[in-house]
Amino acid sequence: MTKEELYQRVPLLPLSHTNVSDPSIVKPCAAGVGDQAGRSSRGRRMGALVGSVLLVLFLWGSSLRLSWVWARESALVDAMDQLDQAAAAAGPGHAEAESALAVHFNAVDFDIEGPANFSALAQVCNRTEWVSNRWFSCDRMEGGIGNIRDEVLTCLRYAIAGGAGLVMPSLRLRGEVAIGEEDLHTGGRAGMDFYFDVDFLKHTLATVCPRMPIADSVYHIPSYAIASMPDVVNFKDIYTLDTGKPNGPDLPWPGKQRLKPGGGGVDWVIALLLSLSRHFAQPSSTPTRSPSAATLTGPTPPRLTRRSPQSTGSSWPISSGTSRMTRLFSGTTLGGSSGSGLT
Amino acid sequence: MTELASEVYTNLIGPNNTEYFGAHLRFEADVGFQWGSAKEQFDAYTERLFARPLSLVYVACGVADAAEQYHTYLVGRDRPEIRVLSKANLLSANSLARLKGMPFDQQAQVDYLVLLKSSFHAGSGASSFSANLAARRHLLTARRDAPFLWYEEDELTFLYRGDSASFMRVAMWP
Repeated sequence: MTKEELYQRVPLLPLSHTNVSDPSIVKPCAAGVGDQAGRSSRGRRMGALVGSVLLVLFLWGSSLRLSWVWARESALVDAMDQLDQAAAAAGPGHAEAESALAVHFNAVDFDIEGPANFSALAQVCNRTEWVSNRWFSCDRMEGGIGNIRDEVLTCLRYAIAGGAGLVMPSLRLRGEVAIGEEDLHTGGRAGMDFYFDVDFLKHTLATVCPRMPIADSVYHIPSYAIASMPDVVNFKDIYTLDTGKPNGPDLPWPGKQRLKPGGGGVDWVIALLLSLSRHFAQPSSTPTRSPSAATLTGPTPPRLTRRSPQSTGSSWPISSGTSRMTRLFSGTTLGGSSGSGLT
Repeated sequence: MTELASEVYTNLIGPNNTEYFGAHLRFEADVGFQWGSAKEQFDAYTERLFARPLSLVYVACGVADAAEQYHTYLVGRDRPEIRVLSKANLLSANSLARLKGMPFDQQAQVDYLVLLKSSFHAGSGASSFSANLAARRHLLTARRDAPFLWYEEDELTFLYRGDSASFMRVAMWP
């Protein structure tokens, strides 16, 4: 039996589970949940992911050029789509978005019921205000397949919500035999292809979310040489923006918010990101990065004068107090980012 | 991974497309008390297994002989006819060599893919591996209409000590 034939087989789930579309689905979304191996604490796992999220904003413009790789197969984006029904089902243009999608999906990667429907995700992307030269990077994700899936999807969703380009996440490898030892990380790094078909992920995003640029690493961002990087963002602090509750065991996970009736749904997360992005659009005192010409792709960035705050990006009607936004960057710097502080 | 998972899956269900009980046992050396002992997990899983007309069990575990241990347990419960298999029993020699050459976490992804297709999944409540499977199986089937795992068991999934990491139930992407 060929691989393709296998994929065509009727799954072994009970037949009563027919494929239905339910616009009331809400999706849980949080930056990290822990499969604590033995002595690892939940907080430690959470902190590691939180610290791994780095937002990169480019204050000077150069057009983005991307070379898409066309291929097949992934298990990431389809899941996002399934979960974005709530965001998209009520919106107009559903049918048009669906007919415009032409993702090859001859391999469903063991998905339970049929091929994925990307139309909801496409709608989310169409509605997104994409900001030139804003990038979202999720570095050193860690854990097994359960955690990594969660973390990558969270990264993708936040990048889309912020209208940012995606720097392909990287993974922090764990010990192969020594799981359970005090530090099970080997120090090794890996790309997404450790678990996933990266080409298919890129192909899918290029088709469904064509205005979202993708870079294989921060070094591949066209204007990397003149970029400025804010400090690591403390996502725990972001969560508390909504509720005012302090961090701790009762951390208000976004998923909880979204599963409660009237909890704000996807808008809650998006609003956070918009606030965040607006802050990033302000000029900072962060020193300019040294050029790394060997790793640059795309055109040589033009030397431009710094724009005024009003012209550097967001036009979102979000008004955020300075003190609140400052707090985002004054939290613990986790994960060993190389960024410079904005505080 | 997908090819290896396909081979495991094909050999597991056989020509008759046998339905199977997918068990993620978590009693590797590193686990803490909150995960429960092997015996406690056997007891809890077996209760669910006996409640269903399934006579084939797929075991995912970092312990090499977990499937044999569980079958020994089932013999003790007077159900020796239930077959208990793991990926190590279901791969050709070449494929098994390929599998052994992979990092631990990649080997586990084979289990992930096979468990995804099980008729019933019993997993560990403190494991994001199981929680992710539970979420994905729930949301990609008609079960998505039902409340999602505010309890620890539904018709697709049982999570042993599911209350031990309830935050995953509300925060996990599938």
